[in-house]
Amino acid sequence: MLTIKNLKVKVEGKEILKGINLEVKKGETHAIMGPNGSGKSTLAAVLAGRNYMEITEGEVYFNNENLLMLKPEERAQKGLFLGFQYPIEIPGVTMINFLKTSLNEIRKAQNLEPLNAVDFLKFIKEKKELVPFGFELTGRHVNEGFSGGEKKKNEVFQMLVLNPTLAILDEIDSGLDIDALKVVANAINNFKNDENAVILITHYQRLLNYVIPDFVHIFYDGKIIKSGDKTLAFELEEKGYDWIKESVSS
Amino acid sequence: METIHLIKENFTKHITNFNNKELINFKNSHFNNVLNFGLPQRGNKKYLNFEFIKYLSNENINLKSNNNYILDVEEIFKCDVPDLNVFTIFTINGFYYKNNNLRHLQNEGVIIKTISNEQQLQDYVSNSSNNNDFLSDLVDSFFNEIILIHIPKGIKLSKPLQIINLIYEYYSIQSYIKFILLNESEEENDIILCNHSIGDNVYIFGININVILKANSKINIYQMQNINDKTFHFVNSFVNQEYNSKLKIVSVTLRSGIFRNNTEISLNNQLAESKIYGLWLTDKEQITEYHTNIEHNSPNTSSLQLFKSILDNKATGIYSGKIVVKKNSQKVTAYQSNKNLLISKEAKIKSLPHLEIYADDVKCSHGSATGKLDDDALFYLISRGIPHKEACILLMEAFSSEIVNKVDIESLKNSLQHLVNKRLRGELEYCHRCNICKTDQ
Repeated sequence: MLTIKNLKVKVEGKEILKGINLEVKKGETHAIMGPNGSGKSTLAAVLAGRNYMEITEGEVYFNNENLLMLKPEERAQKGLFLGFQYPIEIPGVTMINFLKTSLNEIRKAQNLEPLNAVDFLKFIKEKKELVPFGFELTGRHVNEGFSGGEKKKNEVFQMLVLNPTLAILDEIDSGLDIDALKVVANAINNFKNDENAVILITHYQRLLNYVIPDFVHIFYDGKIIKSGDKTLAFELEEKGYDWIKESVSS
Repeated sequence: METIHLIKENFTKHITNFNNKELINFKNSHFNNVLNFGLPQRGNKKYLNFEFIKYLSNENINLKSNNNYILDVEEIFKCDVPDLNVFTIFTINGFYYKNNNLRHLQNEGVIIKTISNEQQLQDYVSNSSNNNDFLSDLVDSFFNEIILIHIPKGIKLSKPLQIINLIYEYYSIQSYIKFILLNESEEENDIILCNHSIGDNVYIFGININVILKANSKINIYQMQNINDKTFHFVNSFVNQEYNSKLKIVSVTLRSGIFRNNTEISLNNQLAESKIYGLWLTDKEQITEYHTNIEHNSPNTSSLQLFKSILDNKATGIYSGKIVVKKNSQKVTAYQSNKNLLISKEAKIKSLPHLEIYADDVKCSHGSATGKLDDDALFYLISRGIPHKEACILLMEAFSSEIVNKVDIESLKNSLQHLVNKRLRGELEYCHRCNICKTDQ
């Protein structure tokens, strides 16, 4: 589904990604862990199509298509989803209008009929039952006045509504209390199936107690320095990042 | 010919044709102001753009001083707001166009009539004379009719009153009209003013509105302009507010060649309150100006201003807002804000907030912010599969909605939202409303 080959990326002249290789197949869940500044969020941003960075080398294929040649909206329309670390507040754009526009643009690109207002609201209601928000979405503006936890719930809610084939969730667990973490984890587990894939970017092993990854990759200084199964996350949690840094330098 | 000579020649013609001899003194005195003070010059703080003078020096824009047309206005013009349940009256080229709604309005207790002599005029506007403003003197010299709208005490209209002001001819014309709105009703009534041009000619279209709000009266005025790109359109509003009177104005300019809106409000007694909101969507080489002058002449008065603009291509926007708090006007609140969105690099905005405060116990603020669409917000929308252009429209609509939401009439608000959306998509053409254009094609 996703193949990243020797991806090198500069931000403001500084090399942040120094040759990333990663293969994600459908049905898989990958966790990317690593210390602050190791390039995890840059990878998420470059895959989603943010344009503030310079790609100096490498290739990315998404369902056999050259991802880096696609516009960000085309990536979303073809099934890529980025859950933001810091979801943006957009006053004046209602959640309902936003979701309806997104969903119908994606459906249009996939040659599906747009949903009418009634079917759309019914569909939203079904999805919303999977992510208890604690408040009504109707009348609310995109992320405006949402608490940190509500913003993260809103990200996974959008993921369930748009039903991508690849969801990249950038620190979806940061700032969540234990109840919110369970809601978010539940939504991810609901989303997962044999036809899609999830990349979880996280600092902590905590989320991985609820969403079990098939692979864990450790980022350090713009590279994946270690990959393994879920036990790697436990090991990391126990020994800390210094263990990794030491094992790299030795 | 020199501009002022051309105006003088036009005035002589206008007075010769003007039927109502009882108003000629009034006209003469205002025309004397035009002559004595002359065209506005640079340095005059009320005038920041002089492009409109080109229109006044254009000899091919004929003065329209008669209504010798045979038109069924309701046939040629269909309002864009279909579900709007209102009493509609029309003016065309500065003349009141009588229709059945006049009778309905009379049954509701509202008096609408044309003013025929200076005595009547003095009765209504004795204390609302304006101080020698060129464009308002021009309207007071050249108006074809003065229309009085009087809402007496205790009157609550069952539906809003809509006034559609049209300018229309087969050739280029200029025409002017004056309104006097006298409101005594403490019930909250709504007036919708829609200013439209029909056809594709060059027009000059000037409107003066004198508003007198008696003690405890309330009114909402919704004003909308959709005028062709070749026209110079201007509206001067002079408002006098008495004790505990409440005013809300929402003005939306969807299109115009050059549009100048000047609102001057005097808050003369305690508890008088004004809220004015403006939104303009400007592109091509259009120029849109909003000027305000709020005078707090009494303690315990309040005013609030919020003006927003979206400017694309080579458009120019001007916001010049003045607040004056007089010496003994303590406990005044006066807030003013102007926010602008520049879509292209060539669009320009002049934003001039201006406070003059001579009292010490007041709460006043002013602010101005100009920027482009927020990159992070744009990316957030795009990353959800929304194409760039659509995402921009969503954000521009969101920016506009703060003003559009000030409209309390649900059907008008929804339609306005729809019109703003069409406008932002570049789909709003004034011609689609005009049945004449359709039959011509």
